[in-house]
Amino acid sequence: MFEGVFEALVALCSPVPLGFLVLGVVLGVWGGALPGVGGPAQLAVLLPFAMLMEPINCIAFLIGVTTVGNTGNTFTSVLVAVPGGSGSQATVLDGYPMAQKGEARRALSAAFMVSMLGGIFGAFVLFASLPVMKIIVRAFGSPELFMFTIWGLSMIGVLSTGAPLKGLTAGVLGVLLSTVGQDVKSGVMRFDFDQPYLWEGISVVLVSLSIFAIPEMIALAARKSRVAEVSELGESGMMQGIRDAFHHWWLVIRCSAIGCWVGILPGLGSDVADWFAYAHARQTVKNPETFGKGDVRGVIAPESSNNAKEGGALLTTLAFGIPGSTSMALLIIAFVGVGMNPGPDMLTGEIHYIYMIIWALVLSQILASVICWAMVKPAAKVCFLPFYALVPIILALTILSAFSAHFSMMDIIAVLVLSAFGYIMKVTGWPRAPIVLGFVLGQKVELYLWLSIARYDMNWITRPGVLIIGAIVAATLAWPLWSTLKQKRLAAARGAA
Amino acid sequence: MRIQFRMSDLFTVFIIGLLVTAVAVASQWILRASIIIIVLGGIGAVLATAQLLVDVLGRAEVKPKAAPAYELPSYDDGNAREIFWGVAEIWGWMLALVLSIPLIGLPVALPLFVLAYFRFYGKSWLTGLVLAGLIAVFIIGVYQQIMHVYWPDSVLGDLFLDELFGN
Repeated sequence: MFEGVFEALVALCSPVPLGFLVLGVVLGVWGGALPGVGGPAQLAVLLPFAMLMEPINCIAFLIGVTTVGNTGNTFTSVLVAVPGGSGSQATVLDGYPMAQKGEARRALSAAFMVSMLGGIFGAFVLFASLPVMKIIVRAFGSPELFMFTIWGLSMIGVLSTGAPLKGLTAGVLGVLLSTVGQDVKSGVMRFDFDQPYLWEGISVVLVSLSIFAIPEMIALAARKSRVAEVSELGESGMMQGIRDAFHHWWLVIRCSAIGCWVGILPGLGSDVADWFAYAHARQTVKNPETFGKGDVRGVIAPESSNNAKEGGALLTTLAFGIPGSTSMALLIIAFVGVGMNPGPDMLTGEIHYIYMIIWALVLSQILASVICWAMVKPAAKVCFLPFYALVPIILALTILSAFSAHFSMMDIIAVLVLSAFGYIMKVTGWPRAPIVLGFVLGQKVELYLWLSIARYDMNWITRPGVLIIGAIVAATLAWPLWSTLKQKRLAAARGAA
Repeated sequence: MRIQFRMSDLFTVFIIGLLVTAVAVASQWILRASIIIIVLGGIGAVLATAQLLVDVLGRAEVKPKAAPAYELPSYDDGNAREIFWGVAEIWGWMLALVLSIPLIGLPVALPLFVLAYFRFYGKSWLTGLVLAGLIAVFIIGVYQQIMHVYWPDSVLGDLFLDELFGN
């Protein structure tokens, strides 16, 4: 076995595959850093070229492109509050405040370090769990996935401390927003206002751009200043970021495990992984009151998970031929096109390809982080650009990114309407993140609920997996209450002493 | 008990109205399509009403709180009047941009917007043209040539820009 693993590394490190890997990583980082360019759209454009390659070159190139987008998209999330992709939405919450405080380099450096560590963790899990994967994935049906989405929704309540009613209501609004369009179960057109544009629903890209990016640009333009509130960047920011990553090593491991697990479960995807990790960190770390105000742990948590997710997602894609996302579906198409057989056969007859994919994943993560580190210093200067240079460029790119959701003029009108909503939420003190989390999870909640009922009637509630995850949900909800009570008791005991 | 109604409470009222309308509309559909909306929308309406009551009835007694932990901090500490006009101004720019797209086309409107905004604040033509040029190169290079995006119809584009942008 280990001989095969070593041979795969040697084969991948020969000049041609390595060259394709570097090219793929550069394109992946670039696509991730530019809103609307990366992800499935970029992959679809590159697919015809990749399908003409030798299998090993195709693996190197496509793994490079597919698995590093979440590293590249940290730039825009941290520097200008524009989530470059669905996997970096939660990074905005603490990354942008860090940039405002002049700690952009530290935030980016920590993010790239943990992205690399998370990605390698994901690759390790992919390697280690190959023999037992079949059992684990088969234990998870639609009822368990439904409970996972409920777990995600329950985190809205946990995280909305300071404005719990507003947070929960915003989460509900997000779920309702996700129901817009044709209901696949019944064919009913929901909230479509007789507009064919709304039949397919609203894109998550539109929602995250409108709720985070444009309101922040409006605020920047209104106060006529720049992103950074301080006069200069700290010189030690980069090293501090790396130290932060290792200082919070246990958080990195936990969040990487969350990301990996979310990636393994088909259908949950990276847009959930970062929220799960952020919520987990917010709930379990000491002194969580600094979260949302520029706490590096709020960057470390989502960034560890969104790259670790790639290993998990590749696992189900390769071992079962089940793509968990559009990108993974396109990857399967390419692999089949060059003569590989993603699915159970790959585990036996084509195991050398799996080893190559694992090594390509590891090398991609390292390369992507090195490339991004090299760009941190110049990129961080974006925070000091005056508003009249930054605002029009970011707004133009945001409008372009929104337009790429359906390539329709209606995309731009929708983004404008939702931005007005997002801006009013910002100025009236309504937390905006729950609306995005509710939106991301809303469709999945409904889908898995109905699938569970259709397949198991109401008996799905008694499945062991459902009961276990139900207990975790209850613990998630009870934990803040318990810790508050504990603190009160401690304070009372100290007072008595 | 002192009742204190602020402008920001209007947004909460709007949210309640939105949720109640959603529930009312959904109740006309079959149960499979509407159950989630009715249940969650109903809960949301109750939560939002509770929030409104807390805000309106309890405001005088409530101590100022920190910003919600799930929100980006606001640095809008400038003059309220200046901020108001700044917000109105940027919305004016955005509306002008959106209205100009059907007129002159997206590939022209976006670079022009960048140039106009930059020049509006009295900055140099050269830098403005460079920034606008970068946006134009990005639009044409990536979206037009690589991704083969079909731009929405525009009055000016229909007249003579088709040749230039190839649609």
